[in-house]
Formats: sequence, structure tokens, C-alpha cells
Amino acid sequence: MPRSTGFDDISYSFPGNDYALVRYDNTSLSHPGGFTAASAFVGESVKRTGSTTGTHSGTVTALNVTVHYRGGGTVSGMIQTTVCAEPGDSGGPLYDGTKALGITSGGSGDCKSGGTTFYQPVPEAANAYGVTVY
Amino acid sequence: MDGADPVARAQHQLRDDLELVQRYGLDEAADHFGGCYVDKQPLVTIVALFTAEVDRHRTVLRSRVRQPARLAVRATPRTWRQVQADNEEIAAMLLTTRTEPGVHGVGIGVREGRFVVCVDIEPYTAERAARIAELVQPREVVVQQGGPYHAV
Repeated sequence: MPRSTGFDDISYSFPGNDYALVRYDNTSLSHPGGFTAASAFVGESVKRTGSTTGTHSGTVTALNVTVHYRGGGTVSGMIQTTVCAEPGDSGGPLYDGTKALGITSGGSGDCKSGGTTFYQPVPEAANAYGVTVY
Repeated sequence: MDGADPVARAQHQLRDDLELVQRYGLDEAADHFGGCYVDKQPLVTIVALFTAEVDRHRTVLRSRVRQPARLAVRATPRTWRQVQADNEEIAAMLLTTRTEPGVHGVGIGVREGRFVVCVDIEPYTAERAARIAELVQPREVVVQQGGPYHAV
């Protein structure tokens, strides 16, 4: 179950899962729209966008992955990919076209040499809070 | 949406079929369903796996998908449920209930055309891989180099 931080509009679940819900009220921020939550498939070509490294591509290599992160925290049910990521990319989306698949969680390597990354599946996170992707 | 990338375009055109195949497997044929994945060589194709009645499942699925020529239905020895159960048990043995030093990840990947539990270890040696395979017997695993991992 998500653990509340004490604010009505902020909640998170970590370790075990790796997701959070934040409400923002700034209506001037753009929203592309047209996305739906979906499950990832092994072999699927995907993209990830993050605030540190921008957009990168790769392939889903495993599902239902349990990962232990050095420094603490074990998460389960993750999507594993060959997409690179670096610190600060966490929380960014993993997607295939208009299908929202995952939320960036962790991994190894970097975007110069390549790497492995893990993602919290979007459907599970959305269901936990009773929210939808749009 | 990668309109210029033929592989991405072919994959997008198969997305609805992929979800249909998975729903069929999980909802109508869970006792036989071995999972489904995307194979990109030589063409982008959906591969659906079943442990029994493969011909019947192939006939049903090819009548339902939009692109039957892009669907391969094959036999596999274990159901998705069985592989998932193995995955959960092995993760508990190596990462959660107990911990095995050097194990960084446990999940379900595809090897030689079927789903198997994969264990990421670092440093990788043949001896350590053999020890982990022995620890989880009689469950089957692929032990490979991977990790350590960090939250980003």
C-alpha cells in the first residue's frame, strides 16, 4: 500500500514498489495528452525521457523483475530494458508510441557506454491511486 | 511516433494484436498459455507460446488478430503461471526472504524462444553461476552478468 507523507496530495511507495503521486495546480504547464497506460512486452522497442539525459531508445528484456539497489531498497515487478539512464532521470516516462508503460526507477551504466534500466509499470501505479493516464 | 522507422511502425501496428493475444492467453487459455513476446528477426512478429493444444490456439488466434501473418504460435514446456511462480520463489530465495551475495536482479526474460527466470550476478564466474543454479533446483534459471544497480 502507498505510504502517505502526511500531505493529502503527495504519496509514495518505496521500497517494494517505486512510484509516487504528486498533484500540481499550474494550469499553464502544457500536457500532450492522448496517452493510455499499458503493459510492456519482452522484445518491445521503447523510449524513455528523463530530465538529465533527454530521450533514449532500447528494448524490453525482462518483466516482473526484482531488483536490489546498492545503497538500499529492493523493488519488485519491474520492467527491465536496454535503455540508458543517469541520476536525475528517475520518474521520467517509458513509452511505446502513445502507450505509457513505465516510470524510471534505476539501473546501471550511463548514456555514453550504454546500460540497463528498470521501470515501475504504469498500470500498477495508476491502479494504486485510482488515477488514469491521459 | 517514429513514422520513418519501419521496425517501430510495424511494432505499433501490432500493438492491438499483442494485447489481444495476451488477453486470450490469460483469460481463456491460462492452463496452456506460456506468454507472448515481440520477435524482431527477421520480421517484427508476435510469438505466442502454449504448452498444449497448440494447433487449436493457433487457429483461434489467427481468426482474431488483424495481422495473422505476423503471429507465430509455438510450443513451450512451461506455462506463464509456472514461470511466474518460479520467478517469485527464486526472488525470495536470492533477494528478499533470503539474500545471496552478488545477486542483483531476478526476472523473466526470453532465451531460445521461451520464457525463463534470469538471475543477474556481479562479479560473474562460472562457479558462482553453477552455485546459484544448484541453490534454486529443481527450478530452471539462466544466470548472467548484471549489476550492481542503483536508483537513479
